[in-house]
Amino acid sequence: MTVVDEHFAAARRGDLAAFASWMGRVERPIRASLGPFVRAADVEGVVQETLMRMWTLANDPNGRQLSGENASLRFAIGIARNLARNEARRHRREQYLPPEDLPDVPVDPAPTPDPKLRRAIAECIDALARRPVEALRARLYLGAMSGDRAAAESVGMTLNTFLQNVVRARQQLARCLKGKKVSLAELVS
Amino acid sequence: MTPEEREVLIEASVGAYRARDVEGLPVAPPEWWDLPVELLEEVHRRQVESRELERLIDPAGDSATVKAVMARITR
Repeated sequence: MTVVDEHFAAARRGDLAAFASWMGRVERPIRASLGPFVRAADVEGVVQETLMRMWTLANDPNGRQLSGENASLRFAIGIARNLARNEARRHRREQYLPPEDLPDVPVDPAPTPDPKLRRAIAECIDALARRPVEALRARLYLGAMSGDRAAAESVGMTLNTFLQNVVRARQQLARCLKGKKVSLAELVS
Repeated sequence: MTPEEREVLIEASVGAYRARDVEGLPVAPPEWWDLPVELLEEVHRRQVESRELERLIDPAGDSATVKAVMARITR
């Protein structure tokens, strides 16, 4: 049984923390599996809805039993791709859909973060200019739950200025990490 | 569209917050609909990068996506 399978089995016993750990491991491969759908559907929304449906499955005592290595991840990828197709049809974006017979994607769960990499990123965030770092931190603390508009208001910026500052933060962060011989592209490879 | 306008549209789509429609399904931000399809590849690239950065710097190792889903589960 893999770590992913263990986390999902614990989630099926009602362990919410285990479900959060499971999401941390599977989010990246689920998102990668949606690469062919980026023109057809909003991938972020599809990933979130997939995770919500897996939580529903985990809490359904009569829910489908999954077997095989990383079965929950493989099942989630199937759900994600179906949701992406449905969303594209709902919004009349079928012309951007990939072929039905897409090849399987690698389903390796995300690795455990490297502490040295964590430190390098934290140092670079601390070195950002004032307004960009305010915007970036507001997005990190509030953005996921309340949205960018609320995050912008929390630091006294208009939404447009806030987004411009997030863009600047991203550019400054990339330069700083490059100086530390860390490429943002390598983070996700 | 100026390069600055383009960057703002992309960045607005990169964020993890998603409102929900009457059926409870996530809704793409308005900026996502305004982007030419070829720029949606760039949105995806930055989302992958952003979620990984968030995961790396969060004390609990949660990305913004995981936080958004947890907030919905526990609300």
